Amino acid sequence: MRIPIISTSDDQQFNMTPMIDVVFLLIIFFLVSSHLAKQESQIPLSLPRAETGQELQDEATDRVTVNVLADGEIQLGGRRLPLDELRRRLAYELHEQEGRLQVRIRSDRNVPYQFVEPIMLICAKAGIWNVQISVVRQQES
Amino acid sequence: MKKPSILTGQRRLDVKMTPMIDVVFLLLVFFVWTASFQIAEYILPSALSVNEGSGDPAEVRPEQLDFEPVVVEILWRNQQPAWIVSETVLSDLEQVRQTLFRVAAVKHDLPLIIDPQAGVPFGDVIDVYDISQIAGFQEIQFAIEEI
Repeated sequence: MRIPIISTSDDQQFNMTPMIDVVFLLIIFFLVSSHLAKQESQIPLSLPRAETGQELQDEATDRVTVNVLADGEIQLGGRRLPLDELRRRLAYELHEQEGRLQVRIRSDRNVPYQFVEPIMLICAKAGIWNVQISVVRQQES
Repeated sequence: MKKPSILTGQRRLDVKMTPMIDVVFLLLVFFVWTASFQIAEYILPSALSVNEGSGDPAEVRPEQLDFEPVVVEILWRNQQPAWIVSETVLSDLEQVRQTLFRVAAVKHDLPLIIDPQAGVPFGDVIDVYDISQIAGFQEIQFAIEEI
């Protein structure tokens, strides 16, 4: 008996569905992984409100984000740091980046100034002049 | 004997729902994920960035400046902020705004120093900084005390 030729030219279609599935899964994977990488600077805080806040810019300068939690705890890289350790870490980073370092202070708006003041002092004494303060716009908060 | 439908040349026109639902759900997850539910953050460049490139931290002494700087002291009394601008005690942020706008209208290139007490919430410090920037002051600095 002759074997029927099943695959006619009419049936040779490229099935796109699994490919789209896989591509979207890959996109979601990379989105999730990049989102997790941003977690350090995204600790949920009630940031101060300001109308004159400027858009965030991806600058070439390396940046260190110092978080000040509502209870005054200072965190760098997700770890609680005493001031002496912060001073050493910033000095080390400044040395590594050959003097081009940007420090971004993300502080809770209810934190007393006495907890933020030492960070500014450390930056000034270390020679880090590029210090930014994270805020939210009045109407968006 | 009945011939298989593949051989008859008749193509079945049934729509497969499962892959379509797969793709639709993936698209849904994709757009939900990429939609940002977080409040957008902005930055305020602080006064420390003004001296970029210089050497040691310059200790700014008001008497060394060419002009008398505007000093805004922020006090923390009875869990409420109070402000002293040019030796005038103000109890309302709106008064601070009006005062700073009046000063800036006369001379906006005066240096402005924000000197908060230790217990003042950081949000109130930024309020004054924000008003000063809106008023047009170009050189705004924070007073920092040695620990």
